Amino acid sequence: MRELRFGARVGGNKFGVEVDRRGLKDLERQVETLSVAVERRTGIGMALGIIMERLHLNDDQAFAYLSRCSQAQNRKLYELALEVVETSELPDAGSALGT
Amino acid sequence: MPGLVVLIDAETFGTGIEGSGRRLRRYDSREAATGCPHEILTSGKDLMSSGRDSATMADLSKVVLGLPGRVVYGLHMNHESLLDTARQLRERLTPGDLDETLRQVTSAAVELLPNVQYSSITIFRPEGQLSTAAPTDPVLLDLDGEQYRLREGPCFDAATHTNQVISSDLKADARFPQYGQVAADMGIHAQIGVRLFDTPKSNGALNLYSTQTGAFEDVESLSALFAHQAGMAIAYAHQIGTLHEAVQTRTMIGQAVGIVMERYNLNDERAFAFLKRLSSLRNVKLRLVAQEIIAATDHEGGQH
Repeated sequence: MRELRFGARVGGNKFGVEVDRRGLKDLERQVETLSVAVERRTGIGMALGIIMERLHLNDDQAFAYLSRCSQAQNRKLYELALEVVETSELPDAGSALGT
Repeated sequence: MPGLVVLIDAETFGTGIEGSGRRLRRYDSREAATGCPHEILTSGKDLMSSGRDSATMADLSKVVLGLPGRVVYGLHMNHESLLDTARQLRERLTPGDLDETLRQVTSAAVELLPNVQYSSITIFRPEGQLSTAAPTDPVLLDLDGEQYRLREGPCFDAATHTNQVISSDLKADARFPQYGQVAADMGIHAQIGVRLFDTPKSNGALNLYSTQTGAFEDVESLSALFAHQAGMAIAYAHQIGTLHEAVQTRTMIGQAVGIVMERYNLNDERAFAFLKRLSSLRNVKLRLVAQEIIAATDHEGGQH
């Protein structure tokens, strides 16, 4: 996230000060990360649901399955999830069910 | 010589607390900041070095204070102690969940603000309920409770209708004819109530208590600054809590949609519509419907 810098024009005089927000940086970052996560969660959830139902897995196992596929194919989990939802085909299981 | 700190809180964290991530990003954007004083926190020294004399600064604070639609504090006091407190607060208020953040605020108030022996936060909901959060001592439950019962006292006023109330001698304070005596009997002689946040669902006020008569005569700016920073930390904590919940809810609803898609061979829109129909027919929240479907599907797994 970029450095926040605010200035103000009051009575025609420009005075700007860099706001020291170090303490809030972590919070801002968390909010950003979480906002992205929220947007992606429906898609990931749907893929998990499909996998749960098709392979008779519980949600943890379905997630483990999807993340193993993601690692094996070196592709993002979210991408794989969207593909599952769109094509209704599971990613190449290969050794994904593993151990 | 006393410094001047001008602190402008443009609507941001007062009203932004209920906002979504989108809203926060919006007012964090450069566009929103352009031409709109967002937040300025500086010291008299900075303003001085930029060539302004104190008359200009006084005018400046008037101009700034006159900005419409914004909560603005003009803070006159020793800027070094102010900035020092601001720095210590920043270090103290680390990311945490909402309850933890409230506790950090009240314990930091007792440690950092002069003459403060006790602190708590009053939450006021639109239906009229008042409750106490994060008291640094159990005795505050009684003390705050008396103010709620009598509908009187700095804590009641700040939570319901005033931004900041300072009483240096509660017993002699004409504004609190009943509560003043009650507080004095419990050993509390001075008190500050200052608004921390306003949201459609609740207001919050910070309560600062002193056992010394005459305390808090000159800490208006310090407590306003404290409340400002604490309010920002609380707004973030609140928002992060809401987002964490949203992540969970969305995952659950997504899973239920996926299960229904697979089971009835529907596309995602139809599966979602199916769940929504279930939810409205039974008058049960979508999240709960989803939870039930997932629980009913809870495979032991690995039957391959």
